[in-house]
Amino acid sequence: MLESAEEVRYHVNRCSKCGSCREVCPVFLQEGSEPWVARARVQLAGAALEGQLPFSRRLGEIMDACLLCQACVAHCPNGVRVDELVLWARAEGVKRRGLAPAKKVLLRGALPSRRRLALLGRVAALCQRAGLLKSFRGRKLPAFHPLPFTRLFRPAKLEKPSLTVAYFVGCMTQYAYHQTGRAVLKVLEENSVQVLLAGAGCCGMPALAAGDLKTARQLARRNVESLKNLEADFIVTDCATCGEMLKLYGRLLGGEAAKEVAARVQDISYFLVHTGGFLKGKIEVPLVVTYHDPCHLKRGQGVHAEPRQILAGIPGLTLVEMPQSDVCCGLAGSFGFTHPALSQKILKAKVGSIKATKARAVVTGCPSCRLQLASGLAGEGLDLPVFHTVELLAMSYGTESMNMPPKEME
Amino acid sequence: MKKGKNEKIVNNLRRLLGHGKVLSSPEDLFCYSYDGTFLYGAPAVVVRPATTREVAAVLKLASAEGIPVVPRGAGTGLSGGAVPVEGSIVLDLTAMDRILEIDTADMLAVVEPGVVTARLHRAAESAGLFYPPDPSSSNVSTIGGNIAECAGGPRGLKYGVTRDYVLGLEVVLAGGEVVVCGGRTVKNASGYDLTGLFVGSEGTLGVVTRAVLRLIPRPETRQTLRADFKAIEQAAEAITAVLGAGVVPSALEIMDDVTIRCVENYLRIGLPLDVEAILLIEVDGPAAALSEQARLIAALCEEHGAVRVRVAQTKEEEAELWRARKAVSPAVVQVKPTKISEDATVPRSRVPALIRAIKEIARKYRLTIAIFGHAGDGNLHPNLLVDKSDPDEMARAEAAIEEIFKAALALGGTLSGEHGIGLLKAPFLELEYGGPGVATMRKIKETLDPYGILNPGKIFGGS
Repeated sequence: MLESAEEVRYHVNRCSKCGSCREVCPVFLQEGSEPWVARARVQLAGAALEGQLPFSRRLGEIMDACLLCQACVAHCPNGVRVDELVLWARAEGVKRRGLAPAKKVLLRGALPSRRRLALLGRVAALCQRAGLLKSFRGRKLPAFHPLPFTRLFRPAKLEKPSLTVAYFVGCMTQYAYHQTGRAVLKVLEENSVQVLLAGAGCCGMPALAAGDLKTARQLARRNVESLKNLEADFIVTDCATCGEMLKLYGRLLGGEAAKEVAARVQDISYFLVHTGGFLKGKIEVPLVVTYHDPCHLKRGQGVHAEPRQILAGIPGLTLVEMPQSDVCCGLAGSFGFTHPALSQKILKAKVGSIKATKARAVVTGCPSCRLQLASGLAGEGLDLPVFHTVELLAMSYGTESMNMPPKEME
Repeated sequence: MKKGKNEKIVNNLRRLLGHGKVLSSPEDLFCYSYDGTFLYGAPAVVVRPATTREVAAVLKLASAEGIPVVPRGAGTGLSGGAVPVEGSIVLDLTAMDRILEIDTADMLAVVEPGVVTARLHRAAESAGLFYPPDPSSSNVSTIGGNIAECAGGPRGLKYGVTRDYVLGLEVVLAGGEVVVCGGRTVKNASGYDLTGLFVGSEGTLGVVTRAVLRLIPRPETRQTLRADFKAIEQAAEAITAVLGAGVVPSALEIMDDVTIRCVENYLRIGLPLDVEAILLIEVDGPAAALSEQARLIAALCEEHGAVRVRVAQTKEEEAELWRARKAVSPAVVQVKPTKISEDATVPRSRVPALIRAIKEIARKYRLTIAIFGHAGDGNLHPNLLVDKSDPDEMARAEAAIEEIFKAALALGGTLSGEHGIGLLKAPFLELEYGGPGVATMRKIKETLDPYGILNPGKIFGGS
């Protein structure tokens, strides 16, 4: 979180304007002109900081057209935190121009209330049963569940657990991908890890990404409160974005409690490989798969070998790497809905990479990427299922048949 | 440009090119106000033409209205060549990015100016051919920009620079006329060498809209060595000995002690901190000949005092050896946020003298200067590590740069090996060529661009 002028200036000054980011910025590679590349966003942030340019609507548009995928950050010879400069510029824009009405309703009205989110989930599910809301802004949506995951599923109580973890259930698992949540519970149980369900709610990333620091902090504080009192050795997530956001709580809020919570957060694949350990799969999963690296997992949290190690522990499964597996899928949270055409172009390249592998299924570690990939594959008439890494491991443990529709204990 | 006139021009350009190809908001213009240097200058409008005809139309309009035009590729140049003069039209040529031909029989490529250099490298390679010029920005730089600045890179010693690969050009002149020069043949003794004139002209004489580039057979393989020397002079003697033995390395890179320390602090890979120079030497060619060449180079380095020589045996070892050199840029900015990269170039034998002179200048002006570069062709990159928010340090850096230029010229060298003169070195051009030399260049400029609309202020200064 860059906030002081000194911090922002430091990062702007580190940019030598070499232009290396032109090689990797997915938005620039589609749009082709300088305003859409990371270097320009850094320079614009600097100009706005020094008062050379106002925080105008156009500046906002340029800052909004960033995926926050961090491809430029990883590639930058000078390590400029372009993503943080963009977040800073968005937040400054919100301070001056306020939030767009639709964003305001969603971010301040719905996100902070678990009850309202649940209601939204329920309405979405009902709409879908009535044949509506199967897609939004050209994007196929997953099936929503009328009841949230944490209302339907409870972790088993283990006799002698090796470790206890708090499972932070993100919104996508909570309302759409129950199969991921079930797989997380089963996989942890199989490996003698006691799971506690944390009071699920939005992690705050949508607000942070929209420049709404106020809501982001409000959500972070609430989550820290509910996480800090759980007697858990670690906090695990199945969502790359939630994971990265939770790890930011220390910087976002300051204070011991937030730092302590943030330090305990681990992505489920990292936890299985490094912390809890995991048993190899038992049942053959005869599937050729390819793995998509979520931005918030690989660059955001440095987790990319771990999911592959898990896949390597599943008998019968073959991983065929796609070219540029770590290029953004183009969804980037709300970006996919605010910039549908651009998002689709970036997605098309990703689907092309997937096709080149001839894999029969796609694996990833982020439910948002999953939504985007599933939509892109369906859009090209490809019948390839998309799984979360832990779902395949659960399948190999023989605890679930992932192809079956989820049974709910209503 | 006055506001009313500006609006009229923008509207005219929109009529000529269509709305999508004309940018005019202050925010968009700001994004075109810089290149890879620390200079800024806001244009009045940016256009992104897609065809030669559109480029010609823009130049015709600019000529009629007397508006300066600044051609631009990826904006990665290091001399300020693409930094706009106030009130200019920036001609962003990156939308013209087609590779029109890779001709394996005639061994050439025909490309538009916006083609990214690395894309041409890949296209040539997949046809079994090779386009050697390889500036360090090649993953993003454009062929048009490479031609305008006569870009080089580490392969200069063996393979030459961009100039040596341009067979022919299509160029739009200031008034919008399209001229074709050179052609598709290696030999061409027909009339003046206009192709040679436009290469390295930094957008001051015309706008390249198409280039015919020579390709050569792709070398079968390559091998890399690293040699560490206690004294820079020993490294220089080793280079002379290697070339004297008839071996021409495809790359011959030097890193001085300051650079070595920066990289070691950054990577911690066990680089020696008690040596003055590390040489990275790469040879390429038929696999059968390479191991013998590598052995010979290793022996010659040892004979001339190398304290350690490592020959890469595998691809991994090769990557490991190059890792230190490739990490120089990120490593040096850990010391100070701003780096000013120069490219003073001297005859090969004078490299040690230039390094000594630069070190003396660094001491005199209390600056950290990391020196690395292409020792094989005498092209050094002294990088001044400064903080641009410290005006005192920036003033010392400016004085030091002037002395570095003078030192290079006194050693029989040139201001620029591969970055061009642009804005940054314009004040020093006369030091190199004297009054009559610069006057001759000016006459050429005035003949081809009588109204002075093409990239004014570049090379000659004083726009």
